[in-house]
Amino acid sequence: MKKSWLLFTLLLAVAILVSLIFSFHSVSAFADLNSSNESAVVISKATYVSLRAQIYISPFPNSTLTLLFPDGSQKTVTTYYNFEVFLPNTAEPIRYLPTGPQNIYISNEHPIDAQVIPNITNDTISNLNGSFSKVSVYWFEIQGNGSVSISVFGVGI
Amino acid sequence: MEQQLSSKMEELLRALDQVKKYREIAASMIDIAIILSATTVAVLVLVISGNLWTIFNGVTTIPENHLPLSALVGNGSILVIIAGITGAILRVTLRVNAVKVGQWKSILNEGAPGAIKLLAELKWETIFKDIRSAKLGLSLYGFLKTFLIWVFGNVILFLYWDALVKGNIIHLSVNPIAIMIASLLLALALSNRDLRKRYEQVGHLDSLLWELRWFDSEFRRADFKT
Repeated sequence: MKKSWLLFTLLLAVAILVSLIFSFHSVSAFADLNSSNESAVVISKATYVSLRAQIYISPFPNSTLTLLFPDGSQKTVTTYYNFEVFLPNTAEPIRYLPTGPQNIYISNEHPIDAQVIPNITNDTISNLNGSFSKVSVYWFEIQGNGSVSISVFGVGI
Repeated sequence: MEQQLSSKMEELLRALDQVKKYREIAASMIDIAIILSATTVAVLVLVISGNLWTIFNGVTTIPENHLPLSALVGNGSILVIIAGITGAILRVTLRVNAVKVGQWKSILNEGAPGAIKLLAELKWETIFKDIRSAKLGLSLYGFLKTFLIWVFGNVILFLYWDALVKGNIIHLSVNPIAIMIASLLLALALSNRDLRKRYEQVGHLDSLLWELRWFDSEFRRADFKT
C-alpha cells in the first residue's frame, strides 16, 4: 500500500513537471547581411513570457556592422560581438490571443519569435515602434555586411 | 523406474524454480515503476532548473573555462537516467537472485519415496497461478525494457539536438515527433531479439502449464484409483 502511494505521488510529480516543460520555448534565427540597405533584428514575445535572447554578430572580413537602437544610440562592430537581452514577464499568465507587429507571428502555441527582417523601410520602423496588444518587442537596426545569429529561450509561467 | 521418476521430478521442480524467478519479475514491477518515476522526476527537475537558470541568469553568468550549462544539464540527465535504469535492473536481479530455489534437493536425494513426497506436497492451483504471473512478468519486463530503451534514446537525441541548437551548430529547432519516431525505431531494432526470446519463453510456459494440468488430472485419477 505504501509503495502504491509512493508511486502515485511520483507519477503526479511527473505529470506536473511534464506540463511545466511545455511552458518552455526556444527559437533561433540566422541571416547573412550583404545589402547596403538596413535590416532589423526583431525579438518579440507574448507579455506573459520571460525571455532571454543571445545575439551573435560577426562582420565579414574588412567590413563593419553598425547597430542602431530605437533610443538613438549606436554601436559599431568590427569584430565578433555578442550580447544578451532579457525581457521579463509583464503580465498575468492568462492565455489570450496576442497580436504583434506585421510579419511577427506570436500565438499561445508560439509565444516567442526572433527574426532578421532585411531591407527595412520607414513603414517597417514605424510598425515596430507601434504599441501592441499583449506583445513585447525588442528590436534594433543593423547596417553593413556580416552575419547575425539569434538564440531565444522563453518560459511562460 | 525409480531413477526415471526422480529425474522427471527433478526436471519438473527445476522448471517450477524457474517459474518462481519469473514470478518475482512480475512482483518487482512496482519497484521498477517507483525507481523509474523517481528518475524521471530527477531528470525533469534538472532540465527545468537548467532552463530557468538560462532564462533568468543567462549563459554568460557561467564562469569561464567551465562546461556550458546545457552540457552540465545534458550530461547530468544522462548520468541520472543511466543510474535509474541500472538501479531498476539491479533491483530486479537482486530480487530474482534472492528467490530460494533447490530446497527440494535433499528430499529428492531420498529416491522414489522423496519424489512421491514432493509430488504430493505440490499445490497445483498455486503453481498454475504462479505460471500465469510468470508469463505476465516476462511479457511486461520485455515491453518495459523496450520502453526504457525508447525513453533513453528519446532523452539522448533530444538533449543532443537541443545542445546543437543552443550551441548554434544547427538552426533546425528540435522536432519532438521526429525524435520519438527515430528512437522508437532504434528501440525496436535493439530489442527485437530479446522480444523474440521472451515470446518463446512465454510459449514454453504455456506448454508447461498445459502439461502440468494434464499431469495433475492424471495424478488425481491415479490417486483416486489407489
